[in-house]
Amino acid sequence: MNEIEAIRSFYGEGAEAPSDRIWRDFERRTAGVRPRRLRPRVAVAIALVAAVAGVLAFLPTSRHSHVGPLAPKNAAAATVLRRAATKIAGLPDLGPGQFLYSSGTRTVISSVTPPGGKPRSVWRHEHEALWVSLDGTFRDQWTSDRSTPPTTETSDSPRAFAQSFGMTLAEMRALPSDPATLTTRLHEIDERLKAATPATDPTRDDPFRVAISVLIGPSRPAVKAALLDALAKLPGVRRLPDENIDGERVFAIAARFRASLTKPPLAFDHVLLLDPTTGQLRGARYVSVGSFGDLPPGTTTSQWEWQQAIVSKLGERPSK
Amino acid sequence: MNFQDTFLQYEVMASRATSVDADTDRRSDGLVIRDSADEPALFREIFVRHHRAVWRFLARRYDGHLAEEITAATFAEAFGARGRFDPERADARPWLMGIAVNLARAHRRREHAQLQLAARGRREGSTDVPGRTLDRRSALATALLSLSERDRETLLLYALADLSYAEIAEAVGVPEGTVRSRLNRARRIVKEAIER
Repeated sequence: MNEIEAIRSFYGEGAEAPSDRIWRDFERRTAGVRPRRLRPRVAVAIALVAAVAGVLAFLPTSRHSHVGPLAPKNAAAATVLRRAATKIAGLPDLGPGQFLYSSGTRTVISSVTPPGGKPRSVWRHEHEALWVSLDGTFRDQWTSDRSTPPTTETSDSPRAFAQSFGMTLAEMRALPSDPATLTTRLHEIDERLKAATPATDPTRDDPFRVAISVLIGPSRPAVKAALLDALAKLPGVRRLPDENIDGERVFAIAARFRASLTKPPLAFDHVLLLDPTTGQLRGARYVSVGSFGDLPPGTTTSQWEWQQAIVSKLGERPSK
Repeated sequence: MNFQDTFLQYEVMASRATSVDADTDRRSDGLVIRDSADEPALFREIFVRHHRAVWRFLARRYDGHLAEEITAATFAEAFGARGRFDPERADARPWLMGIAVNLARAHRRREHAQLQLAARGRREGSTDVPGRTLDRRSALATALLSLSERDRETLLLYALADLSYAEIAEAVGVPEGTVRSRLNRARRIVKEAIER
């Protein structure tokens, strides 16, 4: 043992850092200038914008050209998206030592070809739970009713996170909270994803694809709010009648996209379901506009429901 | 139906992109700190990246509560001074360690007391340390006490914080050559003490 090793041995290894307590102490010390102080200001700003936009949306269209070109349904979509933005901006951000828990059920149509038979469509049900922390720890538990034992993958590899969310944790945390700058940045990421997506996969043309990663991932609340604000300006986004998840009302927003590279070309409506009280994404579905394989137009080809919470331990689930 | 298989297995909530090189696109500390001047919430990223290293360095020398306190104070001071951090610097760890060392100076007496205890051949909270180990610990503590404040700090930044010569120079604000000579001197004294 040389002198450096002897010193290390003398001082011992030390225990796990109490990240939560240190962060709270940091916040207390920086009260008045700390990051969180920004949030109420952002929330107030967004609330003002949303309020003004909400009022303008109900005025005669000639008085407000920024919503005038949109169809009436689009104006309604902008209003609810901005309302959701206001709500989500006020949610707490993920803190050091905490985990963002997300879990959901997904129902998708799968094509099955029995021996000697013709391909037919069957429903497959899956459940997935994710835990993500700011230090990059990432756990993914996935089960399916059509597959073998449930899989659990725990990793602190940046790659595992990137493979799930389409961007690295650092990229997601560094996303800007200005809607215009955010749109540019997400477009860059989307272009990168497109390059890695097979031409036969219609989701490469989906305008909501990256948005979903940002909304369910550990992005900052101000970024989620900016994203909803940006979606409010996306041409062609429209509001559908409100729906229910677990008995609770949710806003429904849709965007239609065409999968230009598929043969034959296909069109889908991608529907997002937003919680009006928190602004959080609660679900989504793809609806085929035309025939889809042996299925008629209007078939929902996949849908999922989602819930999120901040927990203090890896593997912990919220009580509700 | 290849298309259906591909599409239907696509996981809506997860893009599953494979082309992202996660290791190369991490933004440098300098850029994150620069941007945090306009958007303070980004500074949390610096905390996440480095608080464990700072805490670990301090917790090995002081008790846990004091280590917590100094770590929080280190990041609070760094947050206040973030506008002065050079955005060209990729790694903020040396800067943060330098702040931690300065703040810890106020608690030098406590560290001295612990070293003196060890030098007298006693170990806090332990009665079953073998004799030879005890002698070695005692010799090492005596050697550490005999070092000048600057030499001991340099040695501990090297041994416990895993900083390189250049990083220690950045942390304590002296030329790299000075770090080298301080470290050589301190290592020699400790080595002689534990080999006796």
